[in-house]
Amino acid sequence: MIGAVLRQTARALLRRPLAQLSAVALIGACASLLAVSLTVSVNLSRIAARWEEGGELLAVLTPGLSAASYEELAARARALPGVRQVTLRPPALAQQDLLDALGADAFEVGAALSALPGTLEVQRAEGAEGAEGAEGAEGAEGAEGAEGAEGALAALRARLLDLPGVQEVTSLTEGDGLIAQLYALRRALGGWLWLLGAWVGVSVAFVVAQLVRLSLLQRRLEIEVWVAVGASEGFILLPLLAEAAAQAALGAWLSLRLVGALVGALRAGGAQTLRLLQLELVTLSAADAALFVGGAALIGAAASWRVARARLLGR
Amino acid sequence: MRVQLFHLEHTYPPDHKALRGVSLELAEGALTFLTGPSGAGKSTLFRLMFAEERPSSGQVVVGDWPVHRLSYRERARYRRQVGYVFQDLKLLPALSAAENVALPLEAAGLARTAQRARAHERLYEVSLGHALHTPVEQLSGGERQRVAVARALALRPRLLLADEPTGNLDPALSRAVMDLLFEQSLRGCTVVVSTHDLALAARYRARVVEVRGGLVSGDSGP
Repeated sequence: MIGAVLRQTARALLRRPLAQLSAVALIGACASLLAVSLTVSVNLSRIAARWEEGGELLAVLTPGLSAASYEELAARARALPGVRQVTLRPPALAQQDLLDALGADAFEVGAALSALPGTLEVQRAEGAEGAEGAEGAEGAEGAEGAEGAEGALAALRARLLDLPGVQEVTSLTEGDGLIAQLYALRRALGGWLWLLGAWVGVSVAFVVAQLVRLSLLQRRLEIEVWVAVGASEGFILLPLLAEAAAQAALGAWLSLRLVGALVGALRAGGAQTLRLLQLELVTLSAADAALFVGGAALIGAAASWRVARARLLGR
Repeated sequence: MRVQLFHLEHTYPPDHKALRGVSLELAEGALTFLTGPSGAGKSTLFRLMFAEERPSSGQVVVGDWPVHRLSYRERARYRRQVGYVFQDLKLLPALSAAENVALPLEAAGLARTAQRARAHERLYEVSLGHALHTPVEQLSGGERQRVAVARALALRPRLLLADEPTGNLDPALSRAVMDLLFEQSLRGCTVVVSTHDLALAARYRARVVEVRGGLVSGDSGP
């Protein structure tokens, strides 16, 4: 039975290569939209995770302090309530990072690099309340009584500003800075990407269903003959399912290759910007890609099953 | 297989009465000609005997099969015991003669080598040994008709339905095809042939049932 089904499928795939290629290309075009939205989503999540590792608040330190003073400041920041993690980046490290990112262009910036201040990247502890532990911290009055994450962030900012040697504290996730804007974009896109994904998924299913319908019309005589000679339902339907699944899987795989090429081009074109932002663009992982292709095949088979049963077997 | 039709009525939507109460019994191994003008109900009788449709009322019993109420699965099994020569042949033009004949064998789950051997055997039986691998679209009308007969005989059916099997053939080929069908009845297969050609039917010692206006209007012969 399996051998016969495979033979039938191979025969159908090979008998109309142009029609098959058109179907795969059409499915691939639809799947590309989904693959692009998934890749954007994955990269935004990675970028967000990368920044969240660094911290939500950036404390700019007074220039000219000794290495011991930087360490002491970092230790005092770590001891503050509501702090989960503090990463010290003394001027020498910041300069090195920038030199690495600029690469061959570094010499044009020259002496300006030496003016870079040291920084503390501060990560807030989860569940830290705004008013909690703010007593005694000068400048924390405005934050007192504030609720939730915003309050906690404001309270922590006030405490950091209160430390001697801290010049300025900026929020990386709020305000109108580049990182904050990207955060806002990610938040805004989060729900929409799901919606887009669902919409494209339904579109792929619809396109596959229409292709199957066409394929069935083309093969009406063949199927009539199979029914007439006593072929079982599985014998008739399984090759149709396998054919639709193969078309959908191939289309999905092609779309992943296309998106992979697109990401490669973006990597090459924006290499310096990506280095400066310490970002790396990625494509879907092997597991996600397998899930994507498998999902497409499943959608193809399901669409085919529905159309074929309704159209051919009158059910 | 014995064929029994009990009080068959069939109406096509919206209200075309194709059969108005046909009762018939065809003995096992008999050759029966169904004659009558176009639209008399011959094709409807064939469709009901082949379980392509369910009668509006009445019963179709073939052997032990209650054909009038078969499920899809049972219908597929039943059809493996019934050969059908369609009026429009229903051959796949891109496939060779042997591949067309092998279709029922493949559906029945025979091994590929057995399929090939059996298909070749049937094609030799209908004198098409020279066209085993020729695509059907390159065969003449008479050869295609014989491929259709060979396919209907592929599984050695116990009931053979042939709807106008000589419609497009010259007299010599018509006789050849009819001889072939007659041989099947001699082997014990119940054969029902729909035809307008009464002269051809008269050549065989066979029962002739005339259908007119959805009723049996004549029944002669053994």
